[in-house]
Formats: sequence, C-alpha cells, structure tokens
Amino acid sequence: MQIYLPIAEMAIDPFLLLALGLGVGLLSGMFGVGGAFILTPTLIFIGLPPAVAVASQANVVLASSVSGALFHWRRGNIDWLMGGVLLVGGVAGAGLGVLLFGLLRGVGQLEATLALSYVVLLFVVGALMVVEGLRQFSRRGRRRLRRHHIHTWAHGLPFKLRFRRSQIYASALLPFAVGLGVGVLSAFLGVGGGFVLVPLMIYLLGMPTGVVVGTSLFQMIFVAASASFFHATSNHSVDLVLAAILVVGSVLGAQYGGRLGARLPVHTLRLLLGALLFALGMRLFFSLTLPPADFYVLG
Amino acid sequence: MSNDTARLASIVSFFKRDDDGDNNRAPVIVLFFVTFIVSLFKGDNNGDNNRAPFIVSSFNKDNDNNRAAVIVPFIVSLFKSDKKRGAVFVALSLALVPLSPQPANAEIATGLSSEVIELTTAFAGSELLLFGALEQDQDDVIVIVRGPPAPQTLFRRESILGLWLTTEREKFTDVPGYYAVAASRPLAEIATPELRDRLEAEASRLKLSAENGNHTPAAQWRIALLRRMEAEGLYHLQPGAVSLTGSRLFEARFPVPPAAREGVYEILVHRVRGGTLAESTALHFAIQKAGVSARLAALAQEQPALYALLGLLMSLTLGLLGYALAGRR
Repeated sequence: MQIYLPIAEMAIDPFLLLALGLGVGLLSGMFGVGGAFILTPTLIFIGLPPAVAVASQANVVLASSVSGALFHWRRGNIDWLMGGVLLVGGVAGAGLGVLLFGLLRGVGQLEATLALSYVVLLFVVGALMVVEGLRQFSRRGRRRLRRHHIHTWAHGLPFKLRFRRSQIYASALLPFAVGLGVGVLSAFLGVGGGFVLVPLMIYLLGMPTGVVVGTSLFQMIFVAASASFFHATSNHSVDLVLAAILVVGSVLGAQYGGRLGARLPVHTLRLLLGALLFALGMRLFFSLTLPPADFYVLG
Repeated sequence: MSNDTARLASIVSFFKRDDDGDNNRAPVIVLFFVTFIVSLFKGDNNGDNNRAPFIVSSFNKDNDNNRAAVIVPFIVSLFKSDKKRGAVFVALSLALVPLSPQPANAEIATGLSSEVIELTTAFAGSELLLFGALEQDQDDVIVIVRGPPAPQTLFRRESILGLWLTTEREKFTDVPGYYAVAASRPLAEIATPELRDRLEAEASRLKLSAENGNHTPAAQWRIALLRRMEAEGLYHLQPGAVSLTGSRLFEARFPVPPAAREGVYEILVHRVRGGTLAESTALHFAIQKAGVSARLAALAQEQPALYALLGLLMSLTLGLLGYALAGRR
C-alpha cells in the first residue's frame, strides 16, 4: 500500500512512516530527547525531499514537546523566565534558520549543507553518548559536579536578570544567544531540543539539571511551532499528511517509551542509541564522499 | 518476504502487549536498533542521496499483509473521505481536439482511457491507455506524450576536498514535465531523421533551450537532464510500442509515475504513410490533485498561514492527547 503525500509529491508506504514515528516516539519517551535527530536524516534517506523532511518534522517535535512540557509543568520543573528569554531568541533563530534554508535551497547547496551538518552533529553526539554510556557502565550513578559561582566574562554582560527557579543572576543576553543558536539549528536541521540545548543549559548557563529538561521542552514548543509556521509560509514545504502519520506514531510510541525507560537497562540502550547515531552519521558521510551514481542532479 | 514479516511482527507484538515482562522486550529493542543500523549499510553503497536503503525496499513489498491488520485502522480513519482513486480505465471518452489546420480526410480515430488522472492520497502511479483505429492498415503511427512545460534547474556535483558538492548549474526553460514516445515500428523505419526532428519524436530530438533565450545548452547538460528525468520516471527515452490489437485497431500504454507534474498533458498521434506525415491529431488529459490531497496542496499554496496553523493545531491536539493518555495510568 502506498499513500500520496501532496506537498512532497510522492507516494510512500504509510506503515513505514508510522513505524518511523513509533520508533522516534519510543526513543523520545525512553530518553527524554526529541527523536528529530534520527527522524530527519532517515526521512531524507527514504527519499523525501530534504525541505519537506525538515519542515514537517517540526510538527512531530511540537507534539512531543507539548506532552513533555505538561509533565514538567505539573511537577514545577520549568523556569518560566529563563524559558521566556530562550524562546524569544529561539523564535528569532527559527526565522533566521528558515531564511538560510530557503537561501541555500535556491543556490542548490541545501542537500550538501544538510548532509555535512548532520555528519558533524551525529558524529559528535553519537560519540558523546557512547563515551557517556561506557563511563556510566564503569562507575554507575556518579554525577558530574555542577560548577557554581564561577565568574566568567559572561557575567559582565548587561541586562542582568534574576532567574529565581534556576537560582541564577545573570545577563539575559547569554540565554538569548543560546536560544538564537538553537532556534537556527531546529529550523535549519530540525534538531536542537534535547541534544544541543540541554547540555548548553547545564554547562554554559549553569542551570540545575532538575529544571533543564522541562524548560527546554517549554522553549521547544514555541521554537518548533514557529519553525513549522515559517517553513509553511515561506517555503511551502510542510506536508501535513506526512506530519500527521509521524505525529500519531510518535505520540503512541512515547506512551510505551516513557514506561519502558524506567524499567529497561537504559545505559545499554543509550550506548546503542549512540551507536545508531554514529552509524547514521557514517552513512551520510559515505553519501557525501563516495562518487555519486550521477554527477548531475535536478534542482 | 517472510523475513520482513517476522521482523515487523516482532516490532508490532512489542507495541501490542504491555503488561507482562517488559524485560523480555529488551532483546526486541536491541534487534530493532541493530536491524536499523544494518539496513543503513545494506545494498549498494555508492552514495546516491536519493537511493532508498534496504529497509524501504523491504517495506514496499506488497505481499505481506500482516502489518495492515495491526496498523491500518489509524490510517483508514484519517483518510476515509478520500477513497475514490484516480479512475483510470473507466471513462471511455473520445475527446478529439483536432490540430489546425485540420486535415480534410481524417482517417484516424483515437481515444483515452481517462481524461483526468487524480492525484489523491491513495495515488501510487497509474497508467494511461491510448487507443485508436486506422482507416488503412499499411499506415504507421507515432504517439508522443508531453507533460506541461516548466523551467528546470540542473546542478552538477564535483568533488571538493573529498566532498561531492554542487558547483555548476544550468537553467532550462520550458522543459516538458513528461515525455514518452511510442511507435508501431522502429522509428528509423517509419520516418526520416528530418521528420523525426520536426516532430521531436525521440528524446534526443527534444528542443530544449536554456536561460537567456538563444543560449543552447551543452550536449552533456542535455543528456544529463534527460537521464535525470528518466530516473524520476518522468521521461521514457526508449520508444514504447504502439501495438496493433486488431487489423486496424491500435493501442499504446504510458505509465504515469507518482512524481508526475500537475497540469495538462498533450498527446500527439501522428499517422505516417510512406515516410511522410499524413495526419496529426492532438488529445489532452489532465493530471490534478484531488480530494484531501488537493485541498491540502491548495491551502498550502493559497493560505499558507492557515495551513500552518492547521498543522500546529493538529500537533498540539495530539500532544495533549498523548499527555492525557499517559496521565491516565
């Protein structure tokens, strides 16, 4: 069976998409990360136009961010002020990302740029996860020390704000810049939430780990929504049929992922996820470096 | 096939039962990961971005229906309203639009299996059947199908620091969105090269121009364009057959791929006698999006903001639903 995607203008097996959505939902439920990291490159592999893949997966991120953020809201794990500053930067960044996307698409460098960016990101994140997983195998449960009150150049910046929930008194410019960067990444590559923003919030902004996930999910709602909106209005590349199947799959998958994550050997899985990301990066790397089947490509 | 079914069944059973022994499922997840990784590298690996990996080809096989029984209700409920498929081979409409000047003694009668091919959400490619009758059975027939013309950019990839990046480009103007030829005998036996040139009766004889009017695209760009269009299933570089079904009845079949461009397609039916063109008839058919698919595509183009909001609303609702579902437990 095949289903015709009206914006991608191609026919594809809906069960493949549903399975992909389920897998991504499962991962995001288990690890609390957005599965976009895997979703977008996989969509491109199976032959979807990169523009459609990146634009449509924003809807998947939106759905998982909404349900995730609600959980953390109920537990009081959101720093609203920090989230607000981050999302202002994020929405601006999403606009920039979509602009960049359209620009590169026009000159025919979009696919190569996307592939190259993914290679770097997947290699780095995959390697980090594997290292992290191996380290947790050797000394379980040892937590990294949080650096407190270390004065850096960032503390000299103006527009200081008191982020009560995070117990930080710092310039709003830094979280704004972080939000901006992550916004560009999520609109341009369709990644950003868990993998990029969370480490930045912990190590750069110095936020306590307890509020990081909730706050990043809260911010991702707005960034993903604006990325989807900008993509739809400026590039006309959001495919709602595609998005609907993926979202349904991911919402269902997340149901099981969340419960399994608590019971399964998560360290092992994290290791496997790292390996999977690494493999994805490798595959993309090959597609960039091996001579293509045809030197010419339709624009 | 049985391999894929087994794999899929294992994934499905993983999602179906949820209360007993979650730990039993760890191997299944591991298998899932490993299969995915392996699938990335299986098959030929010479790096075409567009090539679908192994996992797709295995999912595309139609003969495993097990998965349908499990996952189909979700999809069906989504697209119930869009069941009517592009009805090919249904209407037997004889829409003859004569070319001008109209030959006085029309000796050819033609018809199409369908005047409209609808790109619904269920569209997965289709076939157009042209049929006709000749007055004289020593006549030859050449049929040329052309899709709506549009500009088309072609990029060339070159290795820069070991990476294959696009460097040069050529902007073609008015490239037919579809091109196929069928003839009752090999073209070289039917028509002179001059006539074939005039009719553009072979893909190599298509008149293509590049941006800025007079500039003629170089041969390698022309050939590359034809090759890429063929790879998309839009061009058929080898002439097909016009088969004679009766003494004077003929038919020709043209596949319509899912990537087919929307618009009006022209079919020229040339009757050739003794190497010279005796008569030409033009028929038209349209490819258009229909049903949910058409409404969504139109909305996306005409009211992108509304379309975007619709998508956001869908994601929000499903996200809330996911929260509610999980919160129940």
